[in-house]
Amino acid sequence: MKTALRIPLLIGLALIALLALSACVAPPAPVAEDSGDTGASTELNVLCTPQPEWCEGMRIEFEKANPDITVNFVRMSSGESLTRLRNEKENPQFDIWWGGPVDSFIAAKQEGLLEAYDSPNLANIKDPDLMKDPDNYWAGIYIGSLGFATNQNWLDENPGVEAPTSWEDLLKPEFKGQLMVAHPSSSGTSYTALCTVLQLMGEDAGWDYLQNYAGQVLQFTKSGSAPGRFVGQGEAAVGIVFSHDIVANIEDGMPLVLTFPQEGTGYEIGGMGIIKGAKHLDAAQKWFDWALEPSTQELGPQYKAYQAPTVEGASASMPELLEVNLIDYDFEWCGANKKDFVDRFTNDIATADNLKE
Amino acid sequence: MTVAKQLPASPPPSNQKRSPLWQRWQELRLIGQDPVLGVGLILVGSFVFLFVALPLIRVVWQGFFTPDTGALSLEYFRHYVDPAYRTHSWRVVYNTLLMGIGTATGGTILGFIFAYALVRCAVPFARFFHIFTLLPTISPPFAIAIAAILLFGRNGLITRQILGIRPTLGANDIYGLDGLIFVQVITFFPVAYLIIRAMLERIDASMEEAALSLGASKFHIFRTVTLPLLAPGIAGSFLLLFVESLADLGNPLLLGGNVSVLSTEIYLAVNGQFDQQKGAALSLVLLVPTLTVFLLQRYYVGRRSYVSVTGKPTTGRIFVKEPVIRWSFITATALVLALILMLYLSILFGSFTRLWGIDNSLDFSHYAIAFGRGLNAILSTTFLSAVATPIAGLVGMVIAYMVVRKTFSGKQTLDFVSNLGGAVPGTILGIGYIIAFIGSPLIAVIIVYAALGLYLVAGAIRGRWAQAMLFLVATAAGYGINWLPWLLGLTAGGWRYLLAGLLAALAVGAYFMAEPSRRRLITLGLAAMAAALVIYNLSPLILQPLAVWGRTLPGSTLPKIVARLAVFIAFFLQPTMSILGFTFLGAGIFMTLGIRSRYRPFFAFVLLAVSASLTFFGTPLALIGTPYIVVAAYAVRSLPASVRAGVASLQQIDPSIEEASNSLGADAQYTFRHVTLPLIIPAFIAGLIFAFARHMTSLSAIIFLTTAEWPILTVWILSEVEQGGMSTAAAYSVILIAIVLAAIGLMYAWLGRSYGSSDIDLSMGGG
Repeated sequence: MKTALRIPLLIGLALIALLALSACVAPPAPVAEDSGDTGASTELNVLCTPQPEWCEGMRIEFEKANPDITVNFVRMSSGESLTRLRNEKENPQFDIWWGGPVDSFIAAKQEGLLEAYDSPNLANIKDPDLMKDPDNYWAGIYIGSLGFATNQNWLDENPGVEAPTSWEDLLKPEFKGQLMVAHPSSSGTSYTALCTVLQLMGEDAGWDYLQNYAGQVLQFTKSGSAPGRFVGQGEAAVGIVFSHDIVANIEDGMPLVLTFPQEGTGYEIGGMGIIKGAKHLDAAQKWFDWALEPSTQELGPQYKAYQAPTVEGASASMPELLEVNLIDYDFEWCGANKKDFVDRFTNDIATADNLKE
Repeated sequence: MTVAKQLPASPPPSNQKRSPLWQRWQELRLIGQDPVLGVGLILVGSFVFLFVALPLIRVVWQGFFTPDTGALSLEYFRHYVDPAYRTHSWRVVYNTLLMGIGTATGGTILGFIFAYALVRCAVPFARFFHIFTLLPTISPPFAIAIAAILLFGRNGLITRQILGIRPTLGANDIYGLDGLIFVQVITFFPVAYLIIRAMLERIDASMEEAALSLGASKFHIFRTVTLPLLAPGIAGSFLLLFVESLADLGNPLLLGGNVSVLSTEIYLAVNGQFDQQKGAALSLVLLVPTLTVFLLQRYYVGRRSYVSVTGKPTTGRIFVKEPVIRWSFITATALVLALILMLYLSILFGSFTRLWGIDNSLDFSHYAIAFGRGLNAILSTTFLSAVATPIAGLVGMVIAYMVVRKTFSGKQTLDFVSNLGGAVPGTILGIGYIIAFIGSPLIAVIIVYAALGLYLVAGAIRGRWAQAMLFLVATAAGYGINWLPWLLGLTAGGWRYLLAGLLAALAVGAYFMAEPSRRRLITLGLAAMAAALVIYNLSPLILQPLAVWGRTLPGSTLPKIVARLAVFIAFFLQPTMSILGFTFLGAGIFMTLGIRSRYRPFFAFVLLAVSASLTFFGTPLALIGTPYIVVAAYAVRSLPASVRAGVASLQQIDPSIEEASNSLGADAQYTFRHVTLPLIIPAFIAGLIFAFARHMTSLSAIIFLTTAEWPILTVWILSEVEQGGMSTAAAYSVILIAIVLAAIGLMYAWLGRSYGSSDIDLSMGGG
């Protein structure tokens, strides 16, 4: 009956041997991927952060320009995107990340998630100091300013109430429980607003302000542009959204008024960058070059994207959106402090005792 | 070596004193003697281990360690005592529990009212009532929340246009905890209804009749007889609803207002703050109430069934005769049902209006968008859900069979873990999948490989040492093959040709080595394996021209469908290598038994080497980014329902029927095919329908796994909802419900034709 004891022992031994085999000796060197055989990639996986309509439009336009490449895209907010890229670092599923504020791209660069690409079309960029990474890890593809969207019907029903024209206006009692903004942890739009306030007022006064302002908020949405639609549908009175998104909502027929804070408003530069370890690098580079063509940047309005272009030779569809009091937005500072600020906002402010429980 | 030397020195264990471990081993060996059962058990066990246990273990693990340094850190648990974070942290827990209790209470009461009305009150059009009550179980996660906003939002049809309510300061509206509970009650109460209804139907009428004839009043009977008999069902549904409510992500995201609950906090921590550890730690906090309730339900409520389940409703049914009671139940039911119908109609209506609440003119543009940019998601989701359905059904059936008909230790664990996959919040499972499968879960792969491989060699050669040696040598050989591409400069394709060549040679050899009766089958099987590898290499030659040709087709819909078709074909032709390796191993176990025993060691050696090479090639089972992980996640989420459906149907079959067939001369296989299978198939299919519906509508785990190539409809609905495109989201929801209804219709039609029974209830899965 010796066998009785041997079985578990043997299984154990076998497992140990196997473990030793595969753990001590590294698995064999990976062989060349199949897709490399034919040369040019026939596929491109895009991580897209702007609204789905624009993503889909860009997909169609790019496939038109490059008939041998099939483009797949997923739309995710910039926070979700960064999480995905981080998780997939060892085995990236996307080739290029297109759109969304550059602070996430700065963070991605610091974490080594992006691949530098010295595109010939980087020369087209208007303001290279501001609108591209010094090491070419990302490039700006659009600019847009923050604005307030107010529901016109609501204004009509509440005579005497004016659409807000300053950050202080948002704290007025008539806007209590009528404000809608995204949560800064998941939305670049909302983080831009938060950082704008902190730069305008200084950190101490800024946090005090944010504390009061959070008390006015009905609901923190997940995506940055959602408040515009919600306000348009009458779910809330005022939303803090990028002005180009508000224009798109008005275009859709929503009764919205666009105003800007007179103290100064923040703005975003939308970026794009190639993912490190992209499986279709050549196609991603083609997209990168193509996105910096003036003709590409003028395509936006066809897909209800009214952001201003970043390259010379492309004219803005709505130049007035940038002819407002823009603050000297410090992207580095905002990017470096993002985790602290969002943490503080989540714990201290977003769940402060509010109007509704 | 030292271990081996010590062995003879230890006193030989006597026959009388067997260690418990030895007994367990013998039980497993007994199952292992039947290769079908043995392979089934290993594969099912591996599935549950890889896709339920492993990700959960990894999540729990990560909650305690910082991902960068790997150092032990209790940072996020300290938040519960740290004054700076304490208020917020506990408030979230409090909100979560409040939501769970509120939803469970409301849902159970509503479920009871519905069940009582439908069983006892002779509701007119009961069938119609029953079907519409089940509507929420098959609709997408946001549908009811969207409808609630469309109807009861600040600019909702009812609140504003009909009642004329203007949102005022601090007014109570649909956002917040109360609105959230309202929506969750509507979403989840059908489950309570199904459970309580089943209980109510099975109460023996004679008990209440006895009480009546003894002179008790109706209310007294209800209080002292009916209610105690129903207690297990009521408690069970309360606990189930509590768990479902806690696991819900969609409704709190949309309607939570400023109320944070754990599921949304986890989602924001992972997807917003990019903090995996925080997400994992919060997941652990959420697991505590979920697991407590789950265990309570299984081991306390589950054992307190006062009713003997006969499988059929008792014949003597009692009806409430007092018109006041009867009609008040019927009215309440009808009113709630009207509300549900209204919610669904508003989704339908909302999907056809231009801009809800602003411009209510008829408009089809949302469907144009849905079938335009959403077409890929619609097709992919349906495809993956459909693929996952038979997997969930088969795994569920095997587990059910083991649980009902076999005895072995570990049975309880298997049953428990398979249920756990559906009970834990999907968010946790999703994070677990990312952590576990982003790289290679090497140890888990080795365990599964070893289980299959050792079983294979056990059938090939006698003697423990010989078996172990054969296993190790063959594995080492397979491992050696994996060095060849590097040594010879082969590509992955070349390596596959090499393995295919080996298999083809083995196929030729097997023709001479096999028992004459099995010769053809084994040769063909091996040839098929070789062909699978060759087809893997050659498939791009067909699929790429197909995709390119598709692009030249007119319009925008057709090219997309053709491109999807190519991707779907690739799903089958280009599977992950380790999955192929495991499949070959499983098939190899059967083949080895058909080889003449003299050649078995050699045959097993080659097969094992090829399988080992496949299994350990590259990064084995790094499934993130592949569609297989989505299929696994789907199957895991619906597994409990499949297991329950299987258990219920198997329990209803009296073993004597099978024995009768056997004694009339049928062999076991014939009996299974012609007696057991026809009896269980209707219930099995009903379980499949539920599984399919659950796949199509699941969001919280899948949201972490979707990719550009495999977009998932529910994730798109979330994206549209978040972008404020309510009408487009409504259009997606209508399409999704239509697909599920079409699947149900097809199944019914098919079942009605083949088995002549149309009386199949979705409740199979719901309970």
